[in-house]
Amino acid sequence: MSKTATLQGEENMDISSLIIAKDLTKTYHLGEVSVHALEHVTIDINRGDFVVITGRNGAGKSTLMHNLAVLDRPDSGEIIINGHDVTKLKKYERTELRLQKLGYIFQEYALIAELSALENIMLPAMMLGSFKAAKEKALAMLKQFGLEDHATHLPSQLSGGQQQKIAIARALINDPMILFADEPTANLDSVAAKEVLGIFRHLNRDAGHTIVMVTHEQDETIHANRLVEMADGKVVRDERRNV
Amino acid sequence: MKRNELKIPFFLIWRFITRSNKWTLSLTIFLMAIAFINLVFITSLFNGIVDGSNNQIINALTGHVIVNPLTNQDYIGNASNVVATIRRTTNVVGASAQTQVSATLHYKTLHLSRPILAINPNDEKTVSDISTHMIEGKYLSANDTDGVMIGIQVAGGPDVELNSTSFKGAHVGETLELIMPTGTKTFTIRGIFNTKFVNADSRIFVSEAALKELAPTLTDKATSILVRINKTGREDATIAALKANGVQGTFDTWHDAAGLIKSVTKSFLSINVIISFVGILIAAITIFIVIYIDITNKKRQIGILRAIGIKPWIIRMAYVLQSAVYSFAGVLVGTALFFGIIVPYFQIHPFVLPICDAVLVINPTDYILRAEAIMLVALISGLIPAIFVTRMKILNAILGK
Repeated sequence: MSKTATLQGEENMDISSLIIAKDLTKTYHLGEVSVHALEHVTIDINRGDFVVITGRNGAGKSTLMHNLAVLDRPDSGEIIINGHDVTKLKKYERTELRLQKLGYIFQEYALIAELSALENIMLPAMMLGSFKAAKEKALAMLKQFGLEDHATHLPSQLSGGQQQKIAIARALINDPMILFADEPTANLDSVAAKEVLGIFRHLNRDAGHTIVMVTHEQDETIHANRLVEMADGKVVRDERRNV
Repeated sequence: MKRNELKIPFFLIWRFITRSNKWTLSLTIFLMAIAFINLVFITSLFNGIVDGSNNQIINALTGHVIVNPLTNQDYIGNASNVVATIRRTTNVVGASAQTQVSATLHYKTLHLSRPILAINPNDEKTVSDISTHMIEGKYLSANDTDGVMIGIQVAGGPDVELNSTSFKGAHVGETLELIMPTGTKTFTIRGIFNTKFVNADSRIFVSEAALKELAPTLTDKATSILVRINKTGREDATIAALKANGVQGTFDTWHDAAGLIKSVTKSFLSINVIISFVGILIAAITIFIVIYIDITNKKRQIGILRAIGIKPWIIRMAYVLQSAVYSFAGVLVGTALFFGIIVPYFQIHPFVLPICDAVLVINPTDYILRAEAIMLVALISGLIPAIFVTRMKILNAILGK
């Protein structure tokens, strides 16, 4: 049985910490210069948390999230998701984990240009089930996001806000344990940004999704119950709050 | 590998191809088509030259099989009976006895020492196509005892390759004197032929009846008998059948008699192999660059697919399929252009060579081999960058690093 399968099987375990990151370090070597993006970062994220990671450019917030989201590997340290150290997973197990348990929303939407809105959403679901089931699920998500009339539109035919909604729907289609969002409103106008943040708040409060979001907009932290601030690769502030 | 996963590369690639930039897609397919045409064109040209030369040797010079006198004899005696026997042999569709004599020809102030071929013009028609290449006058008739038929290289003229050793512009109706040890006779030029094969067009023909008057001792004696068969390639079987039927003599095939032309065609075949290899190499590099650039430009897309959990083998298969579609479409377009435009053009405007007018000839094996080569190269060209990109760090792929 693969570790991914084990992760699935243990979903109902009473583990309050969904992610535990211990003593993470990550250094980038740019020619002769070494940049310490993460310096002994330790953080834990509970099920149902809405964590916002903030900090200046180069503070290490995106690096932290990329590592937590299994898009990159730390140089040292452990990342335990649902009780398993994902840094020790093999490449194919990491792929399975991203597909089944993690949702990722990129700053620039990252939709596949040649796929329609519907097809972009259904693609991850096609990996796990039939084409028909994936399509039905994707159509339901489009309806949920009020984009059912845009199903056949290509990304280039959608506004920034609509594209980001499609990206969120794609991230959600396999019902992930955690949703990661990397500055999801950075390319949106204020109206669209507010709408997207509203979706995140709904997903967290009403649907119980665990969300980890990176932003450097202070006013976007208001929906989070957890605020993590980073500077020079270190966590300099980690506070829980009631929202 | 799950069944539903197997459908994804096809789903992706269909969308990528049908929704990508039409100009880029067309250009890529066009480049593939050009690479394919380049490969096919060169080999068909060489095939055309070799086939053209071989056909010229058979049709204008030797027929398929040449029956020569036995090694200790100068002539095949009782030639008309031997010809009749040959005609009854399996595969044989025509036979013509030729009697070659040495002579000197006087035309105006010019003198040429050339062999003269005495033929039965009707029999000769069954083995050679000279009668269809008359450019002036008419073909010899069997009972013409004072007519001569000459090739363009004998008649000469300003555009003739061997003009310096010809009559430099002789025409039908003019007379020439034929001097043989047995006597001298004035002949009238009845016809001039041009097969576009220098060797064939350097010959002079008189009728058997004319030779009978000039050298009665050579009556019914032949220096060779040309045999035409129903299909090229059956020469050895025909020779065996001729021997079995009691035909005596030494036997050569058109290939044995090709002489210098054989060396030329052999060289062409060697050059063809070298140029084809270079052509495949150039096609491989071109296709690799085109597909490599295409996939490298989609690095971000591949990074996104990996980030959302699409397995690397699916991504690799999608891009290999894309290359397969590009190359298949390229081969189809190339085939349409080649057989629809290029081949017909060269049928109308063949390459003019001293041996023959060469048209493009492609044999199915060459065609399939080159189509397969293009497709194989395209698949490898798709696979290598796809492996490379799917092995990159996801973030580097997304950020285009």
